[in-house]
Amino acid sequence: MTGKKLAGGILAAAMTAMTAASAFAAPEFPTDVDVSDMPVVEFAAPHFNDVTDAPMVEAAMNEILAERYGIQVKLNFIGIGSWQQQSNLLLTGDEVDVITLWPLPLSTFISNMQLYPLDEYLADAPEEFINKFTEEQWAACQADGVQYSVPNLRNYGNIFICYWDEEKLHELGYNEDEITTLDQIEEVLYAAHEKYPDIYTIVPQSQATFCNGISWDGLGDQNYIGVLGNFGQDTTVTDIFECEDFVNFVKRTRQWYLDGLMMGDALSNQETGATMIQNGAAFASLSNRACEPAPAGLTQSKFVDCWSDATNITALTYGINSLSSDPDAAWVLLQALYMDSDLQTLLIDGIEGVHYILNEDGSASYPEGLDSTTVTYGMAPAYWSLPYANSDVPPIDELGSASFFSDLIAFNESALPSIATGITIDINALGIADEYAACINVKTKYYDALMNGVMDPETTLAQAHQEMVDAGIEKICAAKQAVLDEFLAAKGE
Amino acid sequence: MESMVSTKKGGQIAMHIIGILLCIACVAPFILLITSSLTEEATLVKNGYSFFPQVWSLESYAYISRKAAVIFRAYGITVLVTVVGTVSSLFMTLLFAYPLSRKELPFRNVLAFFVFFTMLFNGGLIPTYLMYTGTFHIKNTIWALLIPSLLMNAFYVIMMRSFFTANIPDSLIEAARIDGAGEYRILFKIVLPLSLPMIATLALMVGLGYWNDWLNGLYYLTDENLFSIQNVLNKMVSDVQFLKTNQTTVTSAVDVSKLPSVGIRMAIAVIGVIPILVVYPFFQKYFVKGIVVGGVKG
Amino acid sequence: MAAAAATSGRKKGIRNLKMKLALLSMMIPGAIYLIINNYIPMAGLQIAFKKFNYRDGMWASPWTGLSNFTYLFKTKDAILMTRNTLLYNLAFIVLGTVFAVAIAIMLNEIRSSGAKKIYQVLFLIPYLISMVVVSYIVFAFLSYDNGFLNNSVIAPLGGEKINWYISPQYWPFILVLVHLWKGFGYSSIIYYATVIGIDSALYEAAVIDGANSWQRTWHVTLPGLKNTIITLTLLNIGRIFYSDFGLFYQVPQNSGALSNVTTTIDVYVYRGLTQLNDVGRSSAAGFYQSIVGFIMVLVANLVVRKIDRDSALF
Repeated sequence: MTGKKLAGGILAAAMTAMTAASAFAAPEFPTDVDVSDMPVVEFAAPHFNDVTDAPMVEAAMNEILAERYGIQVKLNFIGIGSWQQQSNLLLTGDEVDVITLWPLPLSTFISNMQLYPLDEYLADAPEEFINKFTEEQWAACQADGVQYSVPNLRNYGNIFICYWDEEKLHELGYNEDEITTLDQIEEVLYAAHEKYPDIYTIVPQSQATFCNGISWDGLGDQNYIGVLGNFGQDTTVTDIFECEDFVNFVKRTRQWYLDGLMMGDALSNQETGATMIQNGAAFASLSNRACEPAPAGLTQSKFVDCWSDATNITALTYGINSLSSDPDAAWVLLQALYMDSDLQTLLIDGIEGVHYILNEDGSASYPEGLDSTTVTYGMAPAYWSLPYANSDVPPIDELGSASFFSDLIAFNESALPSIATGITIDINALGIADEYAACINVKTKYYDALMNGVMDPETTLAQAHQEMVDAGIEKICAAKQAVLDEFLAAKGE
Repeated sequence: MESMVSTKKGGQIAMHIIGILLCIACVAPFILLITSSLTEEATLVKNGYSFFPQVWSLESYAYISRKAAVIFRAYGITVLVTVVGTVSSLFMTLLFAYPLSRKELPFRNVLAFFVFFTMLFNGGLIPTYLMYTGTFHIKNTIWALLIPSLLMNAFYVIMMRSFFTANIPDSLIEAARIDGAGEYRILFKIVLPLSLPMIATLALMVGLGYWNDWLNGLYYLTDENLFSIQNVLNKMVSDVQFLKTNQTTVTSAVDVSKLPSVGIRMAIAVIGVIPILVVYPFFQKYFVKGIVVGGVKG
Repeated sequence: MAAAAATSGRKKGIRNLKMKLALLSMMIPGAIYLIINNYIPMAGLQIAFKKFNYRDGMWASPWTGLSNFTYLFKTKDAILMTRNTLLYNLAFIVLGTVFAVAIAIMLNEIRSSGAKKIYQVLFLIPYLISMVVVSYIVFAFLSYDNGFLNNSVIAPLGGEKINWYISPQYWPFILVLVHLWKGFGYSSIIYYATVIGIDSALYEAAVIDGANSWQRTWHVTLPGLKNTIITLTLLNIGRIFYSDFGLFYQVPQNSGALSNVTTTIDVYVYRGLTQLNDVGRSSAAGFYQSIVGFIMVLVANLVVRKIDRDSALF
């Protein structure tokens, strides 16, 4: 060990000497404001708006943390596009303590042993903390009876809607609130195609994804290798290309495609449906949504009520790095971020007067001249990525009404849960990773093309299914089925 | 002399035709980038990219100019890293490649293999990352942009060695030795001046490597104050790209219509390329035939 | 007399040793860097044979034999992705070299030094544009409804619009073209630098012998480039199982309909492993790619050595 260290030291010295020829000042690490020997907890989360003022927020949080909890925090915000790569690297050592577990499935983090077990801490946690989530929601973050993470506050399910160009829809004489089924949507689409033949009638939700999901549940797998149909209410795991809901849906979109309603080059599309509608290039687009208001110029009709797939709850959770140098302090921070309203407000909205202002009527808004894209601490629109957003400060205006968070909680309660809600399927431990890799590559060939109506389901579906069988889908379905049966049996007890 | 060594007029014209056609192939897409970055967003979404957009707009550049402070700082870091990196890299490459080209070097084949082997095998990102962050602590320092993978590249060593082998006659070095010159003196006073075209070529390549690199920043920097221009640009592009390709349950809360448009991404690409086009011509004076020749003969 | 000869011999020996030591000493900084940057991390190659987990890390994770490798072979796509990777690389090596050498020679033959400079700068532009942006440009040309080719070339000629992104038959050509377009400026710089390094006395002699420009190219320039061509080709052979992920994934927009001609080993691995974040399996893929390249290079180098010792890499 010392030998290794010494060798490392010599190498480091040599390296420094080598490049020191270029006369460089040694880099300075930011020094801690607080000189006491409080533990510093590294917190990492993704962001997509500007967070230049994170150090200011961090300092404000540290004042509270030092006073009430005896710890310090270091905020590490990482661009959402680099998040997966960087967060994974952070977890190779003790550089991070409390971390957002996303976008990989929780089962992947557990399987890679990246998480510190939380059972002991939870046993001592106050009632109020436990009560933030239901027993089922807590259970979803467990594997083999061990608690690995804590859920956060965001939507645990989706409705599926059709976005319309508001003006054109009303010109056609339809009212969005009266449209509630796919058949009705279809009727409007044909009418729109007649009246506005020069624009796309319906476009993908984003890029080549026609619509994210609809009614099949991948049991924790965004790639849909082995699914439950009927909003996760079926009890048999099938190949997506044999799933009845999927087959019916792609037959419908194929007809739309043949009738000229769809975009010809959907598979190479680079835009989002909402953007195309806003810019007058398209009339409608299907999408999964929570309870945020529709973007400007758009209106929406719901055709699928809120339901949540098996792992909606665990799609983004918070955990402690298994290599954390001080998990006790990490837990103190994690719990405080769920319990302490002042900390929550700071983390989400920033500093009053600088990043948001409180109006006389009790609502909150951005300071004059600023919006979510120009404010220098813009985490509010990313409330869904932070531990717990329901603080004493109401949501900043863009998120809609003052009742936003209570609406969100009600929305979650209204969701129809998949029968497999809370299941953990570890592809690696089940010994089906080889087949899984092969199946994803087959699925990529057909899934988007079928959804966008580019391929003819009459001829393609059988072929796609056959290739999935060759790639080993039956083994995967059987393995998932076994876990599901056991899970359901345990639940029934 | 020059006229004797060159082709006839017909050949010249033919070559210029090919050259101009290739130039069009290279420049036209770049012009398309520029016009797209100057197109109004609605036009871009509706009609796609065009050399002659219906509605022009400076909105993309206005958006970027709001980040001017960040961009200028990033340019500064890039320039610093590129200059320091290129100089150090050339120095090390030169010192390593020259002995490899000398027949007198003991274990010459073994050492050549030692270099070449690094081009084939690598331990992967995680071991490299653990070493650089755990042992050398380069995370979130300027060293992160300078040292990993870019400082000396086996490919350049091999190229430079080939150049020395082919272009520096043994007789020249023998003569210098007889005059009592030491090896370092021979390298810097005799070999180096003869190698300026090669050095210029490598400087260009290594410099481009540093200028274009964003992977080191992606792996070793979370502190955005240290971002190079490519990191800043890459972040703007990859954040949008990510949110568009991952329209899952979780991100359905994001209003994607507020994200930077395609035009902005085009403007970003333009901003990354322009400085190189400005600097490159200054390198070209070294690409002149004759610098080598006189020395070899003398 | 004999003593004097011995002394001078010893002196020569010392001088020789000094020279060798001086040469070796030059290599120290570079050697240290290669050891740190390349050789120490190679300890990570063992991950390919382990069931890697983050808690135990690289050393303590359990061994798992060859099981990380099976997914590369246990699929019908194994042949497909290997074929694609190999054939594209072969095309890139052959066409890329021919094209770059031709451009380098052309640059050398062009008389006007102003034109020469302009060409060099402009040829480099594609190299400077990132693959993501290249994918936008390709899309601008190939888009079904708004693409330049469909709207400004095919339609005016009375042809039927082509839906490029679902027509795999065109993509081998498109990808090769994009690769050549993006890389030729850069690789021709290497050859051009070599060409201008060729001793002009050789050209003068050729001219005196009455050689025309083709003959000069054939007898002077190409032999002068031989070494560089062989070196670069050997290096490319070492990477023959690797592929440019951006070119095969981003440029075709990951369109499933094209996957038969765009799935290379890297693309397959990326698609198959991203959700699992399986470090062991992805190291295995890298190891497999490297070892194949390694064997190919050793063989190729041996062949070169047999024919022309000086051109061999090592």
